[in-house]
Amino acid sequence: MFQLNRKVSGTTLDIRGLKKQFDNRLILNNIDLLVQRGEFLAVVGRSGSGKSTLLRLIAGLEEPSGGVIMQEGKAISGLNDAARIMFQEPRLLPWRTVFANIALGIRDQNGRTEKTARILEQVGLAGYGKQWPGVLSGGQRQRVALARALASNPRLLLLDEPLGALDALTRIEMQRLIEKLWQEQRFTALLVTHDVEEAVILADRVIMLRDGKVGMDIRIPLPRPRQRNNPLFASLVGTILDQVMASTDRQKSQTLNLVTSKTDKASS
Amino acid sequence: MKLSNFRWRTKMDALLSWSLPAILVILWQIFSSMGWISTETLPAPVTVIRTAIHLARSGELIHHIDDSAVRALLGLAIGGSIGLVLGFLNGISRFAEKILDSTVQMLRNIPHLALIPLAIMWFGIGEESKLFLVALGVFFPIYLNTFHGIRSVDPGLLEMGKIFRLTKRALFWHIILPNALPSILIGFRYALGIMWLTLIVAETISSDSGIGYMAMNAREFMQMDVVVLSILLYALLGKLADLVAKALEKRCLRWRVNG
Repeated sequence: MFQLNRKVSGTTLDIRGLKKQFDNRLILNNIDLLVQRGEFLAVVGRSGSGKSTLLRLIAGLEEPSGGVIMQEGKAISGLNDAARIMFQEPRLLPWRTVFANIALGIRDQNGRTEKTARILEQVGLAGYGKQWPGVLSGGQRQRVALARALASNPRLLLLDEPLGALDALTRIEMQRLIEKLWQEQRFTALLVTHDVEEAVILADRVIMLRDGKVGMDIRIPLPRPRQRNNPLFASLVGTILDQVMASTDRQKSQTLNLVTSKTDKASS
Repeated sequence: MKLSNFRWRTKMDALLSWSLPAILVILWQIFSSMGWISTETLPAPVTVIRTAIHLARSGELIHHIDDSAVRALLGLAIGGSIGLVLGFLNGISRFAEKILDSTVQMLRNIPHLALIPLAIMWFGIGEESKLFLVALGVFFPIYLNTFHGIRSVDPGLLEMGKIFRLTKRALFWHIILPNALPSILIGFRYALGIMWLTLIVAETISSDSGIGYMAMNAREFMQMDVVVLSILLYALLGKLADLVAKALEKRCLRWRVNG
């Protein structure tokens, strides 16, 4: 019998003194962070606060300038084998069918077809295997990207503002889907988002990055599935938003620096 | 129901696109019959068709078309494959690009037809000179478009490939090559045009067979109908090449939803 609903246990992460510098700008300055096995952690913060950089460091797509990321007690070097990322753009291959795109995420040839078919069904796209990505809607494409990321049963799922480009209703649908799959597969999840409501709906814990450090760390004690009309939900969203907004003024000058340096690069 | 409707429409479209050339030929015939166009300026279509049948029966027509087609295709194969290989090489390796690309760009600025005298001195008026010119002509569009297609790959897709642990070979087959294909096919279509153009010029100037030779030979004997027939043959062969290129694009780029 094929392994249906195999329980995958997530990884633990222990990040110590993590630093990342680009040119002369310090993006991350001494990040200390513990992530539990199977935890759903959301990272919020203003744009340019280094949320995505943190995610890319954990994925092994960037090298830290200092500090260490321990995964299951071992320091990450090079690409992180346990992790898969989902980006804001689906990054599907337009010249491959939906099926082939997902199969790309599975290295093991054995049972590749069955696995692909199963995950397609889990994301609600059974019967879409033969379609080209170009005919799908934005939400459907992100479902395919999610299926591809989860096809290999990763122990760590990194979500880099994956729902940022979707309309409000599709976003809610996707949030439910991500929560469902997380509950089934029990991977550790790290969600980078600028949508505080999304963070509170999904995460066990929300942290905020400010000045390259963890500026806030709040546990979300709400039972799942979470209701948006719960008064505690509203007050948590309010608290976090206040914190994010309070960090705005201090970051303004930095953001300005970022913008000018970007335009410099573009014009050169 | 819908499908047959669709078929009927494509048939109508094909009919429409051929209707203008058909009308022009009919008018041409009418004007010739009425004597408004003198046969010394332009022979009537019927005369041209009669000449075509006559030359076809004698085997001369097939012989010339065959020679021209072989030159065209062989030249395309040689120049095209060199362009393709070099385009891939320089597209993938920055080192190769540094060494080779600026030289190629320099050569590109020489009109390849300017090399006709040199080609004749090197190879005589035999097959080699024409193959050389056609190969040189088709090389550049295929090289440039292949190179550009490889370089225009979306870095996001490459990064995705990295995250999913694709091997270098898999990166090439799944991401780099399919991404470059539309551009390569544009280069191919361009090359087909240059292929005919080069061959016409080369055969007209120096040859002992081929459609171009047939036309030049006929000029000496004032056989206007054969000259016109040659020109029409080039038009038909060019159109045929274009149809092949289009079919290839349709086959290779099926994933382009709004293509």
